[in-house]
Amino acid sequence: MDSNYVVLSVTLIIWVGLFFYLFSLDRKVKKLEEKNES
Amino acid sequence: MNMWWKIIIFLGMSAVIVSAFLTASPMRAANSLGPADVYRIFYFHVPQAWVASLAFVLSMIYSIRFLKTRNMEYDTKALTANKLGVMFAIVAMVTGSIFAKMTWGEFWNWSEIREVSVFILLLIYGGYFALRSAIADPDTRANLSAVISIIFAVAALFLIFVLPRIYSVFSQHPSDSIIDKSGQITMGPTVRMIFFSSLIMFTALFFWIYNLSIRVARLTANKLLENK
Repeated sequence: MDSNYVVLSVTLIIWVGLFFYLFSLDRKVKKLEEKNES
Repeated sequence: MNMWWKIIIFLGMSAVIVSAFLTASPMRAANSLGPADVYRIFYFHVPQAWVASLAFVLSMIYSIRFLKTRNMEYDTKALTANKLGVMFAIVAMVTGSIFAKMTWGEFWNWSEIREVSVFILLLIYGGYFALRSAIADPDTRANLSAVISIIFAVAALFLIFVLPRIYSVFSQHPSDSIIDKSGQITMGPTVRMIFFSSLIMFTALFFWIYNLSIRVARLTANKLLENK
């Protein structure tokens, strides 16, 4: 059961990292789009 | 995509990951090859393969639209869908390979039809990208790759869903882990709940990445036009 927690935490860390990468990319793209329109 | 969607995807996928590892394994120890805990990868491996096939179908739809309208926007959408489809197919192949090592004993075996079929799938899409980069004229490139996307999407669905079932003699891969031959869902209530949540979350995540990739492609195209 212990190793389940290890895999769980590794998977969660990867997911949180991926999510915040996508989130910040989304904000940057939005800024560029606004700049392009003006 | 607005803020709420992102929060739902974040919480939903986190809940899927946590419950995939903290509930009982989807496979009973008596029936499992290797440790039953390994079967938890099923919650991620199957949605990844599903998203890959969804992407190839999406590319086919946009390619048909492109051929009808000759609007270059659809060419970008079809190309992006194919890129993401290949990405998810690679991810599904890697998780499948890990799963194979733990249950069948080897990461890769050329007599396993599933592994051969995903290899062929990646090869033909490699051909798609090679073709795209070999044609300089944008109109010719878009026309040819639209036709090829339509053919390849059919081939992809055949390689993913049909071929391993026809040659099931050469496959240890289960084909009844979601629905059995009579069309009934084979999972228990908890497993079903986590599995379908995972399917929905992976699909939502795919559309988020897809939306972002298209916007980046659009910005890049605008920049290239400005520089000319």
